[in-house]
Amino acid sequence: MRLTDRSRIPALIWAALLFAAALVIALRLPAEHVTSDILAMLPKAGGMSEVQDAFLARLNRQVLYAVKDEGAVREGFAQKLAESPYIERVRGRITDEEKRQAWAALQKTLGAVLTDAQIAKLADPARYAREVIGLLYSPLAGVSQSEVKNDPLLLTRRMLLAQKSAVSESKGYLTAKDREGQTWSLFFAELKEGLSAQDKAAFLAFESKLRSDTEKQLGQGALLAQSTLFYNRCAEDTAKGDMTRLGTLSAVLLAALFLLSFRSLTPLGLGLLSVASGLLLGGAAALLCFKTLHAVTLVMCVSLIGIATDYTTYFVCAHRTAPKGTPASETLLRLRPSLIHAMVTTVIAYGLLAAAPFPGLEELAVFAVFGLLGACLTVLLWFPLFLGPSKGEGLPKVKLFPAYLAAWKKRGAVSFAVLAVCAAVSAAGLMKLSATDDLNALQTPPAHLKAQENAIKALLGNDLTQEWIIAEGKNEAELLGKVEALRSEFGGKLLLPALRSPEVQERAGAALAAAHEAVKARLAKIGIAAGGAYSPSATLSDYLASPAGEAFSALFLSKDGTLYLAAPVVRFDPAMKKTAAGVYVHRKAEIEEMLRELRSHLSVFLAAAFLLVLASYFFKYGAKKTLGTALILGLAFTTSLGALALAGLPMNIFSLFALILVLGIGIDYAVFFSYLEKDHADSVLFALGLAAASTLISLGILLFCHTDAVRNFGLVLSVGVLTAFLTSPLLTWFGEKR
Amino acid sequence: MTKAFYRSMFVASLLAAGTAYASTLESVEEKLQALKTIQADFEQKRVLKGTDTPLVSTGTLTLIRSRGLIWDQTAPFAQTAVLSGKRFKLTVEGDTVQDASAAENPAMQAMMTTLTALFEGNFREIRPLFDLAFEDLTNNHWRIVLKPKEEKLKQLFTEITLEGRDAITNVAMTDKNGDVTTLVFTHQVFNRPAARRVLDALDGP
Repeated sequence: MRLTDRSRIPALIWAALLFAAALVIALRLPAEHVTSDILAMLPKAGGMSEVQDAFLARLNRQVLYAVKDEGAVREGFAQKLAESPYIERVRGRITDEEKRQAWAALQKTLGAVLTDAQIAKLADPARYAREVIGLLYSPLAGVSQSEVKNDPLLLTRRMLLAQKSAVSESKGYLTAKDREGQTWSLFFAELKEGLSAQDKAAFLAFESKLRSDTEKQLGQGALLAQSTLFYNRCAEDTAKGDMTRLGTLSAVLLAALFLLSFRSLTPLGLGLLSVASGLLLGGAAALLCFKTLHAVTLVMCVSLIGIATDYTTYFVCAHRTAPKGTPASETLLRLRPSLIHAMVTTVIAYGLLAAAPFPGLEELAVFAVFGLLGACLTVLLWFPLFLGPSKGEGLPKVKLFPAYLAAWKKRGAVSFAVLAVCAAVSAAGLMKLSATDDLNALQTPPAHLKAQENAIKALLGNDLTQEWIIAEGKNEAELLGKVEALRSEFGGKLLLPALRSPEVQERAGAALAAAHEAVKARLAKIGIAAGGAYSPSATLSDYLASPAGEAFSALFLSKDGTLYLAAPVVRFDPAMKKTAAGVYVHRKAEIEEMLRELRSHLSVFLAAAFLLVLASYFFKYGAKKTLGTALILGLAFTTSLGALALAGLPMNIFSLFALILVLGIGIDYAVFFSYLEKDHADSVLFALGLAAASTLISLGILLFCHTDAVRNFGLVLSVGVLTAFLTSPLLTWFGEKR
Repeated sequence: MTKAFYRSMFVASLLAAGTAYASTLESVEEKLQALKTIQADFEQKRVLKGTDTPLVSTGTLTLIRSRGLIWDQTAPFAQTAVLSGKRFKLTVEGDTVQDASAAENPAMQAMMTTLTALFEGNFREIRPLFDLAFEDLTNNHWRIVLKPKEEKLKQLFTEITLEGRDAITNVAMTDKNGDVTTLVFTHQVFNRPAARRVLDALDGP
């Protein structure tokens, strides 16, 4: 077989394709297409997901600080924070001017935020006048001259009394008290919209310096901060660190394995070429398919290197053991079916990951499918061009694999020991195996961030960012009407803005006017000329400018001409799921519910795939071998899950996806052992052992990853593949094909 | 045990003062604490800043130790305020216009505990809330000036002055806005069992 010019065409096309892939990566990668945003990793769930995202994006721009100081330090801190070019505004310090404005806004909205009980009270003007005069004479009420003159209906004091907030204003600052009675000053910083990743990084560096400076003055633990930004930064640092560390480790170990096995630089060079092509094609495909790639995905992609090198291993082994002078193209021709077979089974297994609702796993699937295809195509199209005829040098004599196989064939102690260990791990682990769909089990937030978050939660009361009812309206009146419906349906179970709908405001306005007249008349009798003006109506923007409304401004959103309100759930009521006035949203619970469903679907799918594989095996190799394969794969499943449980980890969606890959990769070993011919046994065993070793090195490296979900995935996958590899000689107990 | 402690404190303060009959904060405390009930007529003047005529009201006050107090105003209009440990009820001209648990109104609660503690002589209870200055006037006559330390109370008054002999006879409260409320108690009767009507009002639903 000679290489003609025509046979070079596919190789040239392949080169052009890879060049294009490199261009795609060069153009798209630097423009921040890698994200470490935790939200981007979560599946979409529930209704109004775009509106949810918009609210969450807003939350993502907020940083909350609590400073244990009431003096100059907090002032300096707030000042410097506000001066940062990345900050839109800092809330927390209230100047006298702002107080005046807030007071004016409060007066303006007094008549528009009355409760039903207050409106009912106002509707009896004579009685209302009695109450005011009674309070004025009471030595206990402390109603002052100026108060009764400016606000004869005493609405301001009513409103201030009704406010039950952990946050209060003290000496011009927003403060809260902790359990020991210590005062903390609170600052709500809002980042500018549309900051780039670099801007955010610059801000984080700035604020981290500012925080440590402030802490130096006040002492350790005197400054708390909370924001999803910090979690994202930690996740990014972790992922970046993991990628560099694990990638380097994996590359070094694989290079060492290659050099040690082949004692030549050429196979290493070929392996690098194949892996690099895989990375180019996989990376370009993923960048074209997804707007952003998650950093955690990239860590998982590192594990593909070990699988991608297998094709080089098989080719180099086959070529070296071929009779001297065999052209590379001929070696390829002989190897091509099994090479393609190995690639296709792995690609199918990884391709199934695309069914996962996790963007991270979808990205991994695309990356894997194209990456493995790319690595394999380079072997198929380029290697014959780069390699001369076989020198027939053979392979290093490694006794380990043939000895291991021989031990199995003899049914020696080693084989039983391996089976016993697998059985023991399976039995011990499966008894304590637990399953979870808890999102928190996928990624453990750093303890120091969690501690600060809990401390802030203790200062401010409940966390109201998990469960919402989102109401929508084409305009203010419609939305406020929905708010009224929610108020009458759920009352205190929801945190709702006090602003009444225009309809209610109108009703309140009439009662207000009558009561005002009655009270003024009664006060005139005792010589007090009261004034006061009660605006009968207030708009949403009036309300949001008032002290009571300001806290709600983050909960209103205007998007594509529709107005939305996210009302945090204080106490859940099952009727919330069915209310006509809004959509109940509990992102975490919804995602977990979805994961639970997916987990049960996947279990069925896994069982079906397992049976399908066995059925196809049955037709090709007969009952005996099928039984053996079933045993091997079954043992791989139980041992990997057992090891997971023994490591103290629960089974989750990532474990199940790992099992699919165990099925896809493990079946290859069984296939190879079924093909095992006596004359080539040693060289095939060498190739197989080397391929398994490289795969295990790069999968095993995932165990050192800092993301829980990836570690879980890596553990199941590496133990499963290891078990499948170690037990595949079991097939020799189940007779030869024929 | 507490009684015994207070008594020994009293003796110690006498010895320290060297004058057998001079009033001390402790002796006043002792005297007020011995009163189980107080009934008195009151005259209240509220001088509101910026008005010429003060708001004057009269009526009777009934205080029952550890039960609460009833503020029964008869002129210029009928008004009854009932303060018991848990609630505040205001009835104006026979119409109950407020009836709330004290917890719903923290400012009112602070006020109520303070006033009840003052009348009952529980200075220990109010020491954390106020700076107390005691002044021994002549003839068994004394004055205590209280300045609030606590934030919530500072919102209500700047100063409270109490004067008395066997019981409190005069109270002056200056609030944050400069309004001054003075109370004069006359016809004081001590330790007379309270009428059923009064007890019912305090315990009422």
